[in-house]
Amino acid sequence: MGIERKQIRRRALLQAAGLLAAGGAPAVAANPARGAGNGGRPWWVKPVDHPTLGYKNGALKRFSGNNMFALYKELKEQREGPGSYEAEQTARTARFAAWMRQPKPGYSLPDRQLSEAAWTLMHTVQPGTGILSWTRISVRTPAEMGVDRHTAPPEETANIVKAAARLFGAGLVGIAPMNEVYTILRQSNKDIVFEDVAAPAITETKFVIPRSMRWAVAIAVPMDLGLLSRVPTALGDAATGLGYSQSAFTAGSLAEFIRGLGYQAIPSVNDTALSVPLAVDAGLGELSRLNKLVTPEFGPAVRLCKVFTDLPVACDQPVDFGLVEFCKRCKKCAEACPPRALSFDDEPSFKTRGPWNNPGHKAWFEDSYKCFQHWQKVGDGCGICLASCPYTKGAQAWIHGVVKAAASMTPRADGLFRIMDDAFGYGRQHDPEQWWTRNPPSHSTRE
Amino acid sequence: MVDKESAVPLNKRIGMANSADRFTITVPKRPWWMWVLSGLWLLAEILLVQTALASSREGEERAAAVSWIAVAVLAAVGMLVRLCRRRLGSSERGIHRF
Repeated sequence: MGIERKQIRRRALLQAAGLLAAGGAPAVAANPARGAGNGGRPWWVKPVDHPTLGYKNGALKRFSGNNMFALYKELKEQREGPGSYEAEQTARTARFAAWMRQPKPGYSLPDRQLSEAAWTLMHTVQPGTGILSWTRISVRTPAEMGVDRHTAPPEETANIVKAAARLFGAGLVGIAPMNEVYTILRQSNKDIVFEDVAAPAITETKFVIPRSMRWAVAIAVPMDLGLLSRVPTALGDAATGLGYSQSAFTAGSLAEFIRGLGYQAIPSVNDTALSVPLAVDAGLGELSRLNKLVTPEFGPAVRLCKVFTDLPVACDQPVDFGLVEFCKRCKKCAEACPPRALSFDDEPSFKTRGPWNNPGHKAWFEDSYKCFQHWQKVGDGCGICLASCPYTKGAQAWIHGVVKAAASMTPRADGLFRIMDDAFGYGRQHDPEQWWTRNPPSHSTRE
Repeated sequence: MVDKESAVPLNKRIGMANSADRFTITVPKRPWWMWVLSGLWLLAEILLVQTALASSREGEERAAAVSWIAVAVLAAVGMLVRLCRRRLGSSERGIHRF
């Protein structure tokens, strides 16, 4: 009798364990924090020696810095004649005023002003100014406090820097070696140069980066999904503005922290250097069909910033989580893009689409002119490609982690995952008017 | 008129045997693959319920609706399979439920 009872108890215990495993397995797959042993990343994010989309040896050059913001007016007038840019901007201003008066959902005065307010911090800084200062703002140096500057093994220092970055708002943080090729040639009508100097400097003619700055801390700040799911509207643009403002705060605060340890630091958002290749090298994600970074945890719904420093820190490796194979089959972003600005090619290539692209690396290059032209029609930005990507998902549903893990291991199922993504209705625009009444989440850091 | 099956005592038909001082009840074990299938079914149900709840919280209403439908369909399929197996098992042993 005693033996039988023990056997029954054992069976009950096994059944309970099975239940727990059934419930717990997806949680482990989904929760990045549980992927210990991989820098806190999910277990299906594999470190690799080289980025999944490579470079042509010696072909990659420093980019001019002339992105579509700088090129658009000139290109517009080349294609559509003198005055076409001004005419477009006048029509755009009138259209937005009409939408505010109606009001059109997502473009009401509160929607518009939420976006304007979200951009506030970013609008107050220029490269090297304000919170993005290249020199100390207010932090006291170790010398001022009568102590030596921080010294520790690079791995330990990297952990300290990453912890500080997360506190200041980073969703993901990685470290890559500084690569001069990623810095742009000019900004704010000044050259960007590398020199053997002790500290960063901004003169009348140039931005000077010390050659001793051999490390780049790459940071991804997650965008608000509640706002991003309302693109393309003024409300949706608030997600972009908030992401950039938070990026400026994160990079600026981290730079001050590093200066407080006794080292030099240059914070940067979209200025000074290309953020995407640095983020790829630092293992934050892979280059995607969008020709933008897609991270395993937040998809492309991130804004990037970085801090260059001479503080010796251990570097991270690029990662592979099956994204390139997924992008080859999915194409959801390209189909969702109203002006058809994204590539439908099956394979990435070295073939660029215009002067806004930087040649020398493999990618699905986009037509930024078409993209920017569409922005003028719908608002200050679009973002449909970001919202439609199957990797752009909230963190609450375990199944997304399971699907991403499966996609990383079984590219043959990628087509099925794309179909399921459509069937579940992901990537569709949410009702903009509901945003104000859905009790939007607080961005407080309290957990 | 008594048919042959009715003539066999019930305890024999369901695998219960008498001896002088005890009853022995024989319960057929579920095969291992049945446990695996049941586990997978349960796992899928848990995942779908969690997806439905999380999708509602995240404002993904269509995802939540599709997940609830999937939960219901999978539960119905599971119950149907269980019912069919019980019926099949009962009729194999000559027990008829009304």
